[in-house]
Amino acid sequence: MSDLPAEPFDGEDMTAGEYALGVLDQGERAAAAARAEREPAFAREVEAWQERLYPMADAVAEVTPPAHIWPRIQRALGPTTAKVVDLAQRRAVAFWRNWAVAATAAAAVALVFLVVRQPAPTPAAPPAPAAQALLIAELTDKDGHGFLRVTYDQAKGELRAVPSLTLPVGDKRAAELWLIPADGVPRSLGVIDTAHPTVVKVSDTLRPGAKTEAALAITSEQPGGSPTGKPTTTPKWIGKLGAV
Amino acid sequence: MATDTERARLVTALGAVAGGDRDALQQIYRDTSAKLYGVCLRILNDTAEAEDVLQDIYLTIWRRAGAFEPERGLSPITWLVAIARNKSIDRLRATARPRALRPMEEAAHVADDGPAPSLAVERADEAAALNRCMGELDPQHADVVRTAFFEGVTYEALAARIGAPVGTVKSWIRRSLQRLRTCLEAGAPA
Repeated sequence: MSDLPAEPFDGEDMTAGEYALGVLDQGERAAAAARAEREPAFAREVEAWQERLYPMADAVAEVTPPAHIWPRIQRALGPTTAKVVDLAQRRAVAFWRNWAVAATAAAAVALVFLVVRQPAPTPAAPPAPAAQALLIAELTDKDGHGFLRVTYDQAKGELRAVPSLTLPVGDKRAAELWLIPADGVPRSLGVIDTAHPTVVKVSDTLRPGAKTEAALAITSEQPGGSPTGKPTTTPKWIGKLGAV
Repeated sequence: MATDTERARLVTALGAVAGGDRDALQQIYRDTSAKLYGVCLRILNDTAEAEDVLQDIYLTIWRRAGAFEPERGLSPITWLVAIARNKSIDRLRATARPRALRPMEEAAHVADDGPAPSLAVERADEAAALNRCMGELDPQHADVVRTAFFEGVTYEALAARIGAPVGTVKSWIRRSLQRLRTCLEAGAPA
């Protein structure tokens, strides 16, 4: 076989296809994975190769996994965490449901936050995130469509909100970002740019609540944000922080 | 089950998982674990490793379901298979366990292995198109592509297996990928 002439190859970079196929070695794979994280265009290219090649998986014989696997997964999800999550979510939902009523009597909550705007970085060179301290959230609308990606650097207390589409908050309205920690009460993280990445410095007061399973939400507010420090509309996009 | 129904069911379940719905994760597990476990086993060739990776796969689905973006047109099955393959291949690379040499995959059997009905239906057309395009490759090159896909092995391992220089195998695979892309984009033959 080795004496068969190799076909000429025109040198096109096939890394995305090679990564999707799975022929790269450990170092090359890690590099490709990191590149996919940084470069959306490369990530799309990898996905296109997956769509082309992965129908091959249809030919892989199905094998029913042993019965103990699902209980193991359930245990790994953790009953305590799950209750906290569910509770936090129920509280968040209850908060939004009752908001219209509660808003009239709302006392302003003193919130300390600072919004720092930065020019949008080029897509090819976002900051390299610290491995463990990074949390992500995908904020979706009620139909599950993603509108905003949030990365949160716990070590720096720095949150980066990147709209994947221009957020349709309405004419002369602002997009206000809220953190909803386990107590279910929204805390403002400030108004974000509807079309470009915004970097938000989370205040020291709010940092303890900004962790895995805390929810993030965006409401449409008057320019400059809610005057009361509480949301005045129901959230259009919502998601929760989780490990990368 | 109709194509769109199966796909919509998974997309809906993934959306629910993103919202923290455990029952939805269990539904996805019921619908897909046999396929994904098959994928893991084929790559890892070791039940203990495959079980461990399978658990990791569903925990990853739980955490990352929010990152699945159906509006971009990505198939949910592809997304799940990608997680399964990536986890399995990463494990394979990390353990670097010497594996018994297995024969190369045989050509022209993509559609003949009795694809399971639950997941295969959705992609019957895609699988048929891919199978046709694989059939247009040099049979030996197609074998190498298939082995790479099913077993997740490196260029080096493929080259060792068939006794060819690594550069030759790289050339075969890159050329094959280009041809597959061209063939799939051209659509059905006249």
